[in-house]
Amino acid sequence: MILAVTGGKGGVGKSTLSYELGAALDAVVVDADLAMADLPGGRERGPDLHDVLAGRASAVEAVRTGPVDVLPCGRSLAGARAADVARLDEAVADLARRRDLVLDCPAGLRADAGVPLALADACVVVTSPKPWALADAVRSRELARELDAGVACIALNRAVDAPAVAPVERALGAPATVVPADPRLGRSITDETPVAATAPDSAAGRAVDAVATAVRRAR
Amino acid sequence: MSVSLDASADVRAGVALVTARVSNPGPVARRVRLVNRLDGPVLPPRRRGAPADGWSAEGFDGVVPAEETLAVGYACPVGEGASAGRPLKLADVSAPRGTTAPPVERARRDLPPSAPPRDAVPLPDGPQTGRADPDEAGREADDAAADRGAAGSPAPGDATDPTAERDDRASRGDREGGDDPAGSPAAPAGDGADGGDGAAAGRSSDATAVDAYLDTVERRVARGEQLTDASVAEATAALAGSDLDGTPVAELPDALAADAAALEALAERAERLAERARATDVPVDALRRLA
Repeated sequence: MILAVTGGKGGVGKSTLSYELGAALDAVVVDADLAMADLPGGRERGPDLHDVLAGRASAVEAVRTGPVDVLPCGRSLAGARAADVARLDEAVADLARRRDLVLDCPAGLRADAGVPLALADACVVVTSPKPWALADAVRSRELARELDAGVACIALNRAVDAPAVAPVERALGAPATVVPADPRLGRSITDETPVAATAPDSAAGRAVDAVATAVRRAR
Repeated sequence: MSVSLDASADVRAGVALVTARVSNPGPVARRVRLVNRLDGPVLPPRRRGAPADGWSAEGFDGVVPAEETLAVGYACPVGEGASAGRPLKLADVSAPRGTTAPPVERARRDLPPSAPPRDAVPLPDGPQTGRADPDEAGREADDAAADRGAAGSPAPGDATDPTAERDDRASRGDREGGDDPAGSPAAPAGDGADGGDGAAAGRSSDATAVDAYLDTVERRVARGEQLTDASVAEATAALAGSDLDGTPVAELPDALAADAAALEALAERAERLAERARATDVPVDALRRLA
C-alpha cells in the first residue's frame, strides 16, 4: 500500500512520523517534499528523488537501506524546480509493487502536496494538538478526501499535556492518536534510531505503533 | 435549442490565433468536440508546460455546462498570408460522460503549481556564472547546470517538463548566438538586455557579457573572412589554427548566418534603445523637491 503522511502546516513532525511509520510498517519512506527535503541521504550518496523524477535513475536503485529504508530527495533549488511532481506516480510505481511506501508530503495545499496524496491509498494527517493548528489539519483532511485518500488516523503530534481527543475526532471525522513529545522522536531521523524499533515500549513507541495499527486497519 | 459555435481567427505573423465560444442554451450540460480545420498543428494553452485539460492534436474536447458559454482559444501556425476563415468545426455534441479524471490528474490540474519561483534559482547561464569561465562558477551553479542539462535533455516532445520555460529562454539565447556551443555568451547578453535579470548584476557585468559575446562573434567572423576566397595555402593555415576556436568549419556558414541575423537584431534594438535613452528627461530637481 501507499501511505501519505500529510498536514497543512510545516514543522509539525510529518517527516519524523513518516520515518517512524517506515520502521513500524517495514515500508520505504519516500521524501516527497521536493523543495525542502529533510530525510537522511542526499546527493553525496547517489541518486535521489530528483534524479528519479528526471528519469536519470530508477526508484529502486535510489533507495538507501538503513534502519529505515529511505528514498531521499535532492536539496538543490534547481533540482526542485526541474522536478515534476506529476511524474511521481510512474516514478514510484515499480517500487510500490515490491514494497509498501510511506510518502512524506510537503506542507501546504499545492500540487506538490496534492499529487502524493492522490497517489496514496490512505493517509495520516499530522497536526499539533494546539487549536490554531487544527484549521490546517482540516484543510489537509479536505484535500485528502477530494483526492480519494482515506484518512486512516489523525496524529496529534508532540503533545505535552493530554489534549482533548474527542473534539478533534469530531471535527476531522477520523480517529485521532496522541503522540507525546519525546526527545528521542526529535533525534530519530538524525541518529537513524526510530523509536518504533529502539524503544517500542516507551510512550512514544506505543503511540507510533497505535498509528501504524490504524494504518493497517485502513488497508 | 442546440449548441452553437462562434469561432474566429486573427492571423499575425503567420500564426492564427483562434478564439471560439461554444454556447449551450439547453438545460443540460453537453460534451462538445471541436476540430481544428486550419492547415497547421494545434498549439493549445499550456499550464506548467502541459497542455490544458481537454486539448489534443486534433482540437478540443470538453463539457459546456447548461445555459452557459465556454470560451476557448489556441494558436495555429498557418504560414504567412494564409486565410483563416472558419478555423474550427463543431464535430460532435454528446451527453457528458460520467467519468472524472483520476486523482493524480486532478491534483496536478486543480491545485496551484509548486515549483520554486524562477527568481530563487541561480541560473547557470546568468551573467556572473558564464560558461565562458566555468572555474569561477560556484558549486551550486554547477549542480544547477547538471540538473538542468540532464532534466532538459529529454524535454523535446515532452509536454510536461516544467523546465520548458527556462529552456525556451536558453534556446532563445542560443538562437541569437548561433547554433554552436561557442555562441552561448549570447544568452547572458540577451538576458542582460532584457532588463530584469541583469539589473542586479550591475552595468559592468552586463557590459562584460556583451563584450564577451561580441568577441566570440568577432573571432568567428575573422575566421570566415580568412576562409573567404582563400588560396589553398591560406586556407590550410587557417584550418591548422582553427582548433583553438570552438566552431567546426562545416558549421561555420550556419553559425555566421545566425550571427549576422543576431547582430542585425541587436543593432536595431540597440539603436531603438539609444533613441529612447536620448529622449528621456528625468526632472531630478523637481523630484527632489517632491521628495
